[in-house]
Amino acid sequence: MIPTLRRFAYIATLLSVAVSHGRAQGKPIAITNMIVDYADRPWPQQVPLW
Amino acid sequence: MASASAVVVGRIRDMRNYLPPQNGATVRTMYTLDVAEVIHSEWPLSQSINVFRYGGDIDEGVRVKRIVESDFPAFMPGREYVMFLLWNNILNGFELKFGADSAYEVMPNGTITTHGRSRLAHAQSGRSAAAMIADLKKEAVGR
Repeated sequence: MIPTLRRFAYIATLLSVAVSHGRAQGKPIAITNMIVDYADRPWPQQVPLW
Repeated sequence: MASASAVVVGRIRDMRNYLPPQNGATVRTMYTLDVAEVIHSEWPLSQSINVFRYGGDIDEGVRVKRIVESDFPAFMPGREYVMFLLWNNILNGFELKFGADSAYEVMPNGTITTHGRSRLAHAQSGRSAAAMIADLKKEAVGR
């Protein structure tokens, strides 16, 4: 029983490390803030895309 | 409220990035909103609608440029909101009529929280969602 639990814990640890490594390999994210002036949008219809 | 195409209560089911094909268009995040209640609408709504917000991810190859609206965090899937919406013919979906002042999250304890800064937003913050919705319904009927 104990060896089975140990094996399970080992596999879980490996999986956890693999997932963390995968995230670390992801592309860096550059955050850009955007300010939207909602009052500047025309009304009532045909709101343009911008 | 009358200037909004629709005022609804709904829960965000999912979200995804949307880059409009038109030149110069800003990247959007498209949310699927499961509508629980329609308070006001200029036309009948389906059970789920698309709500677009400014911002999203642009893959630039070596990095991802993430555009976020200042002081207005993204909606979270699974969360419930009261929204004032505006129809956009080009996107073929709804947008927020007044930005952060158009979105009121219904917290698990039944109160409202918002990132809006208008007088209306301040007045609703911390209030009971049921009371806010009841007031909106009264106003909708009165028009």
